[in-house]
Amino acid sequence: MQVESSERRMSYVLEYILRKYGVLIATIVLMIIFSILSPRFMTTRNMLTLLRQISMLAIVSTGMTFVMAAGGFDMSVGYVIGLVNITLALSLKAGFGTFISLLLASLTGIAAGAMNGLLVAYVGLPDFIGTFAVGSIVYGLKMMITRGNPVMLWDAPKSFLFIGQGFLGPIPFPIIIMILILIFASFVMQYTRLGRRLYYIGGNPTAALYSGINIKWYRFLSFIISGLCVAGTSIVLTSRVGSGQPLAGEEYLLDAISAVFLGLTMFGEGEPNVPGTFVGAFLIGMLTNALTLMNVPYYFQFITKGTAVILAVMVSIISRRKE
Amino acid sequence: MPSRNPILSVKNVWKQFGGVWVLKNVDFDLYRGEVHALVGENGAGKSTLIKIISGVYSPDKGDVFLNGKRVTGFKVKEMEREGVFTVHQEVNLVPFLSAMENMFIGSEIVEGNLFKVISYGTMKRKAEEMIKKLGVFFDVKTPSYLLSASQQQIVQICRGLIANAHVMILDEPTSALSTEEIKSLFEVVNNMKGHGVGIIFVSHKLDEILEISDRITVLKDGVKVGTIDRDEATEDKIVSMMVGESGFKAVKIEKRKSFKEVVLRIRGLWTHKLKGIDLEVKKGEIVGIVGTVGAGKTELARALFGLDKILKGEIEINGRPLKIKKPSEAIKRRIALVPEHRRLQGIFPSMPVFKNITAAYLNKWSKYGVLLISQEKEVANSFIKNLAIRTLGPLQLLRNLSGGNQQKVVLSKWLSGDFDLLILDEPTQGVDVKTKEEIYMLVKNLAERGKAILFLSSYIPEVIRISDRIITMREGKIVGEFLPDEENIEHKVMMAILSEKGGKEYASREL
Repeated sequence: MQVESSERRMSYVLEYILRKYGVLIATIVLMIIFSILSPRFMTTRNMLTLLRQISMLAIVSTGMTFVMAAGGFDMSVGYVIGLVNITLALSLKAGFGTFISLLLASLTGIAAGAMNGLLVAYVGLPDFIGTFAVGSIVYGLKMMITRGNPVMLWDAPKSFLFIGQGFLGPIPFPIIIMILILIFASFVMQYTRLGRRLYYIGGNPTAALYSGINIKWYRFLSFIISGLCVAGTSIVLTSRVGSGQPLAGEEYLLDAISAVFLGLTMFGEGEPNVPGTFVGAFLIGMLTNALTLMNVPYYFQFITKGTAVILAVMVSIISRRKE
Repeated sequence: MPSRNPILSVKNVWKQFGGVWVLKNVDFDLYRGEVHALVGENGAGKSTLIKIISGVYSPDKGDVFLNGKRVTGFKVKEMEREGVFTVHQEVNLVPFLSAMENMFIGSEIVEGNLFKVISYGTMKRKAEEMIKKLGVFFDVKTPSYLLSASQQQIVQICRGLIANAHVMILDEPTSALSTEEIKSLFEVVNNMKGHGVGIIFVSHKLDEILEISDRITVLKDGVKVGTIDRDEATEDKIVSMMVGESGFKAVKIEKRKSFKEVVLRIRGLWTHKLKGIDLEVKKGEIVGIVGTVGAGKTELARALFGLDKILKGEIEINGRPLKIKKPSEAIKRRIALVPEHRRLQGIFPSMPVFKNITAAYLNKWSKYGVLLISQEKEVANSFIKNLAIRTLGPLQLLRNLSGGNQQKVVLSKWLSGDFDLLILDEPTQGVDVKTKEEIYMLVKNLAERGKAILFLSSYIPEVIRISDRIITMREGKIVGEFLPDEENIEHKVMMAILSEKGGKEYASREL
């Protein structure tokens, strides 16, 4: 009796670990494989490059995590990154200085988030439609502003360029920003009323309403947070490339959603969570980085990314079905 | 009629769910051109029987015959092929398709030799013939969302007739219809009878049953009490059969408690469903509200909790007017609600027990917006202990708890906070017997500690057992008020909620 239950417990624990940390294990296994295949992969230098590469994705994915935790979706992030990028470049070009320009960039992100939030939470449009439409409007706006031409920044302030290009000791500054945002966002999601209430809404919106939670307000807030994170990503991006590119940022939409999905099963019970999202973003960035190092054609990266997401979501669906 | 063979006969059917027998040796038969009503309290086994006939469930023991053919264990599709069709309570039409398209869903008429195309002309002609046969007229090209509730039901009936139904099950068909619409539906039913269709009619409304049926079968606690002909049936007789001969032991109250402070006062409350509700609940009092499904109990709870728009009337809590638009405001005014549908409205299945318990009063377990998680777990642990919640601990996910224990968690969610008025909407539904007893004890206990309690239920014995005062509701109105120790109380209450005149005849308003 005792033996049987302890055996069952063992297999249960094993299954639990696999389900919960499957993506993490896959990431580590891939890291080992890549470091065998390419001697340049597992070097401090390349790891720092990799982390710097994923910092932008990790920040926007963090915002997406908030929206998705509350059961929503933000399809506008890619285009909004572009709009913030243009705003920032134009503002710097006009000589507003770093501080004012960053403020304007943040406000642009918040405004897009507020628009999403109003349409989805208060007007009641489906997330996909509402945020997709906002994305389309944003795309039109930035094309209208730039007429499709890049905004070149020949003499951007040093303080601004430091954000994306600077180092603190040996560590690239974007990595520092990313880590600070991840820690803060993790804290908010796990240890504050705001985060918990987002999870309640994502867990069961009707029960959340019946528990006295103002679901409209919190869903609205989640889009604002997403908008802010989008601005964060765009600020780092603009500083790195030193110009305003009308088409910048579009690929981040799919990558951010993928990152959140990859992290779903980790550290939580199939709920979006910040540490999981980071691992997801890391996995995506690592695939790109390693495949580039190994001279695999770039289009193959899209195929691997897609496959990774399908696998991750399948695992989470199957493990849920089992219960 | 007995000279002919029945088209449908159900023989010695048994069915159990989770170890509880919900149908015990039930017989049921139906003849051509007959309306056979099926009556019983909630939980008597009506819907299980219907689901066995329509093929949703298969019986554990016993058999179902259609025209002499054994069809036991057939699935819904197979039953439909055999001619058994159900018109459900909730209309399930495709809203943007026309009436006629809805009638032919799944059996579209296709014509043509080379290219098969749907023939709208033939379908339209057939649809028009069909509704004419039933004695109703409307444009069959109307999108179904523009049809009235009864027309929508008629479309469903047509769908069945087109699929060649011999047995038509009408499951509470009148619950959403106006008096006029009920009339036209009954005409349709009579016309169907004329065409030889056998109809099973399930309803809570005794007057309708007496008007439309040829025979009436009463179920109680999964057992068939009997089948009577229309001619020998009266409302009183049916209710007697439903309540049973064994009778319910009247509650003996030695000393009537007196309640003073009014916690909840409602005057002339109107919502989309409620029609002028007047009600008072005092401190320490348990007021039971009984009514069938759709009588307006849940809508009363919703109105008090800020979920439904209040059209007219006043609500006072602790002497101060209550003007609320959302649940968070109701909670602030010290109202708590254990909702009707636990899975849908009460729980967060993928979250741990402790997070479920602290969901409603999160401000109590946080400081400057930061959660005090160790305190949350402590509180959860104390409820797990005090309410004997069976769980591995505060971290276990709620979906892994049994229904009764989930309900205890929902109760804990409210008990962890501060309220003066607790509304419980069908709190013992889908809960095991032992937990039911514990919930009754808990409610009594809360009342003794001075909480005002509104106990909404469609199960009469439990309301009689627990309440200090019993209010009956019917069609959005309060139709009677009773004390639990009155003579023959179960019969009176049943009459009041089922029959139009029952309430007025029996109500004992003065206290």
